[in-house]
Amino acid sequence: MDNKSDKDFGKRKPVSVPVTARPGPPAKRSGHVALLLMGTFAVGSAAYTLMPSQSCERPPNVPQPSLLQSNAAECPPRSSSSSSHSSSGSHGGSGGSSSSRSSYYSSDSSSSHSSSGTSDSSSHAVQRGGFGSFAHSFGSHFSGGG
Amino acid sequence: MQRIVCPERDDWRVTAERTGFDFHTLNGERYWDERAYYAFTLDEIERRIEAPTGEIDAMCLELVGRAIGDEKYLRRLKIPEAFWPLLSESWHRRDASLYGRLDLSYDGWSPAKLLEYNADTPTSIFEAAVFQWTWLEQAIERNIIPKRADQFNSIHERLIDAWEKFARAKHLHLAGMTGNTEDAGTLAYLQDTASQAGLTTTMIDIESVGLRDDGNFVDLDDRPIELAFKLYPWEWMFHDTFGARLSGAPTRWIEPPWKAILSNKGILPLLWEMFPKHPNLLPAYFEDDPKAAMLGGSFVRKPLYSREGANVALVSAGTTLAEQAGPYGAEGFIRQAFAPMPSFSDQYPVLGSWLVDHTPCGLSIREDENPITGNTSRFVPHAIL
Repeated sequence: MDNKSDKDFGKRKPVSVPVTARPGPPAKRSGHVALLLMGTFAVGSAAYTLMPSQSCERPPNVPQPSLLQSNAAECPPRSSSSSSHSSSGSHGGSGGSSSSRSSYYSSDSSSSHSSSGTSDSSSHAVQRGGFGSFAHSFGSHFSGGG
Repeated sequence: MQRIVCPERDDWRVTAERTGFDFHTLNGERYWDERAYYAFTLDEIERRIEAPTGEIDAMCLELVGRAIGDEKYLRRLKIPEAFWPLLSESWHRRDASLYGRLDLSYDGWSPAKLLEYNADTPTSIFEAAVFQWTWLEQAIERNIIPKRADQFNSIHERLIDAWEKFARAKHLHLAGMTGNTEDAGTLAYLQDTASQAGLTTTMIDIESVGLRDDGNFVDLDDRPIELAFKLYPWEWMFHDTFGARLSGAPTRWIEPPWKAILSNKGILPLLWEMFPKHPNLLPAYFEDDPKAAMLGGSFVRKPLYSREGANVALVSAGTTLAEQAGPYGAEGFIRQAFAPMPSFSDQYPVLGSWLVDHTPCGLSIREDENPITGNTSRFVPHAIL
């Protein structure tokens, strides 16, 4: 909301004008090809980036010719299942994402538990495990989403 | 609004898994279900769904502005007093919201009614934004639905646009319960859209977030977390050990702390109080409010804090017809007028109307044989015909 003025923030806005009254094409529907391609590659490649503690650095404002290629270049594989990401340009390229992500989730889940406690990095002590305990009180089947 | 039975794509499971949508089936039951779809006219979408969604969001913002300035509201919502400054500061700092989902009851004739607002940690956005759109495209190609079919869905582009407003941050961390398949899928999708907006990202399990002795929250490499998307409810963070350190930390959170007000079912009676007889609201009262008796013996009882229908009960003529088990309710309940859910082929659909950066931009539908939408309710696609 950085682009809203103080006086507008939190105030009721006018009901949106029906599309038929707007000039130009309607803005409420996605572009077919763009969404399909981005969506198909997006989650597969995002799953690949879920390696523990891994940062997929990419300079801001640098276009991505292909998310799969980009991640392959910038996020070196940390698991055997990452070989599936060597393919690109087809839906099959992200076929390994499921196993890759499952691998991460299970490993991360365990590592997060074991990371609880205090460590001393550089000159600062770090405590972990201070978030998440309330969720455990509900049992394992509850998610943070809704 | 119609429910139209249609053939499912033979290969939809393979397509889903290729896209990372590996929670399409949960506990052996379909979560994604394309054996039918809901059809709307463009006029229905624009006038009955899109416009009311914007109107309700605006009313909610007005409510937050009022609640932030009046502790009476925060007390009624049972928000712990220790966190009032955190909420107030985030509101006055104008910390931005990324997204939210209104759950609406709509029968095709009467005005859509707000059932609740998933303002803090809404899920099902990947299937709404991407897989539902994939269904539309392939269903058109395969003559499953008419060639002219369209969909109320620009969620994906809106997310990327919205993330660009956060691009001044050096880095985005995404935190949540990554051991939960659905939550992990939601985080992965949002991470991808943030990446496409130019943000560099790191995923981290919520339990792995560290607290450094200088008051900074840090990741597993002990790097300070400057901007964090969290798929973990504010009310849970308030109860966690690190909750007491939220106010002193420089981390900016998405959704922002002021969204803790809107994710509370207590907004339903507060909205009704502020906007009585609004066509898109149902009468609602706090359970301990004598005016709750005006609802008579038929109402829906909801905990102030609840997710995915847990601890929600349908009461008719004083008898509980249906109730979802769950761990919520310690903070109290609200009662909302019982609005008979529309039934289409013995299915009860609830519409999820998505907002990204306060712009209504998409629709998702969950249906169930049970009139209370829960975490086992099926996701059914929609089309504009």
